Amino acid sequence: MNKISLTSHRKLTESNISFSFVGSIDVDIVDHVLAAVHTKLESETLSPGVKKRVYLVLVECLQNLCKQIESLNKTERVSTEINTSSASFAIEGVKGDFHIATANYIENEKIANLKNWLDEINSYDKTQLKQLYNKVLTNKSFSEQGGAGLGFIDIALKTGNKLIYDFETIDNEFSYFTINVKINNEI
Amino acid sequence: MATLIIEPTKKTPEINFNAEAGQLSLTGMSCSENALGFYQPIYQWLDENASIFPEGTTFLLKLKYYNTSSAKCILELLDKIASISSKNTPISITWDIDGDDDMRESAENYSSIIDYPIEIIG
Repeated sequence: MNKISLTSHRKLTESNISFSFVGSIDVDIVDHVLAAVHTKLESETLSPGVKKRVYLVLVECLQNLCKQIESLNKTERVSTEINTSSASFAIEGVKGDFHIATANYIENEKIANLKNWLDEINSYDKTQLKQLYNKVLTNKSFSEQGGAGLGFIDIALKTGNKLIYDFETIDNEFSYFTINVKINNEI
Repeated sequence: MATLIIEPTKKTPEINFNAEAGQLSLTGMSCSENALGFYQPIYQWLDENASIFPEGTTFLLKLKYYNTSSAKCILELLDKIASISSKNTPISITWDIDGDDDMRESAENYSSIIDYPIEIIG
């Protein structure tokens, strides 16, 4: 384990928030993290609008992560290489700008649809994103995991930034999906 | 049952619906990952009690946060209220935005989608 030095302590203290997690993730863990981040954000000297955006984007990122893992746990595909319940996420805030990253395993057959969806969202401006949001909002359908299909659109709207993502192939069945979002101090 | 009271939690709102008094309110956080499970009993209660709403019935929303899973459920709830209003007793909808511009935009968007007036206050 790396030693915590005075230098690393000072560096961490400069952050508004620095938090990372690796391991099996479920709804209870997500709820605890959200409560802790909410309390921490309330104590920060940021504008109420930024605090709210950071919290809501984190809610969408982590609930989406949980839904992807729930979906993966239902698959009959297995891998001896990886624990599909395992995932990771990190949140860091420096000088009011926040970065949120999540990572999880994904079945290779689901990559094409997800990539197309993220690319479509990234290709839209704010007006087009609002139109897409309303189109999905009014379709009344929910995924098997209770998802509304609005998460990534909402994140793009709330951050005003592109969704930075990557898929790394592990084997014939699975890949590793990472997504990074940035929330600027003032939008 | 003419009242529906659900205590708030860290991720679900307080529901205080009184059919005979004609007072319906939803306040707090709505960030459950399974929002549909929370809202379905509310839709059912509305279906069962809409016929006894008195004149002057009001529905007040005051949400601090809501997630995207709740966004669809809130739309269905507002749509249901608007539908009851046209078939039974007129219901006035008020959304207390508590000075939040994003929430004002949401309220205006919902009003436009359901084609029903929502009074914005706060």
